[in-house]
Amino acid sequence: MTTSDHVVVSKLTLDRFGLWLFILSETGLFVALLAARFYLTGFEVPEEANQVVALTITSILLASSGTAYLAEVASRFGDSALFRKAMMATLLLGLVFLVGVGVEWSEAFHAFPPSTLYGSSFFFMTGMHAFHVLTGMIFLGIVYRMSRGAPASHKWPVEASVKYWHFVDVVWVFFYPALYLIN
Amino acid sequence: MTERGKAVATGRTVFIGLAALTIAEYVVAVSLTALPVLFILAVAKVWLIVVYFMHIGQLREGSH
Repeated sequence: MTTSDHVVVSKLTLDRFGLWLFILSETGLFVALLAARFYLTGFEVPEEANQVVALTITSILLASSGTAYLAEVASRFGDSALFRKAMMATLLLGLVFLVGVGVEWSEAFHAFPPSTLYGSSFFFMTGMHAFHVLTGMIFLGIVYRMSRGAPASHKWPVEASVKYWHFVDVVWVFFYPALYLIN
Repeated sequence: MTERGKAVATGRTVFIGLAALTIAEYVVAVSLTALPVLFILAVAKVWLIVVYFMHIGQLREGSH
């Protein structure tokens, strides 16, 4: 091997590659949950599924992806004030999403309890997703706290936490039609 | 337009696209019950998020 054969890969590129590998491994988990849902209960969705709550929390999560993107852009250009506002908005929208899931769960416990086939899929899928929303919020919260003072020096944590947040949104993009719309 | 202005404009356009696709999903589900169409709409949404919000292209380009 000659000197010219060396490929210099920056730490940032390796960090990004590692994060994408992590996201890929998480994707396997959610694909398995989707497969189990269709295997167990086919394409049926109970009439009791609350379409209004589902569409509302879907819109909220979508909006949170928009504010997370804005936070990343603000961080990239060193706009600390906008970064903090957009990050806080993302956290609040995440919290509202979780409250919405809680509302849906309280109704679903009566309509299709976890002891039923659809109920077990529904609670496991939404529960696992809500857990990821919660961990994403913790991740974003830590980055928000770190940003006090010098956000420009913490660009990778911002990028990583925001990418993870978008991934949580991607999962819901498939879960929403699978749990509410396909009937 | 500045670099930052372009980034914000891209985010706004993608967000509007995602919102439109979500509304289309709901309308399709209520009126057509067309599973393949729902799947295509979901894939389109994921493509927008992965390409424009998650910047998957950065992996090919290296750091920037």
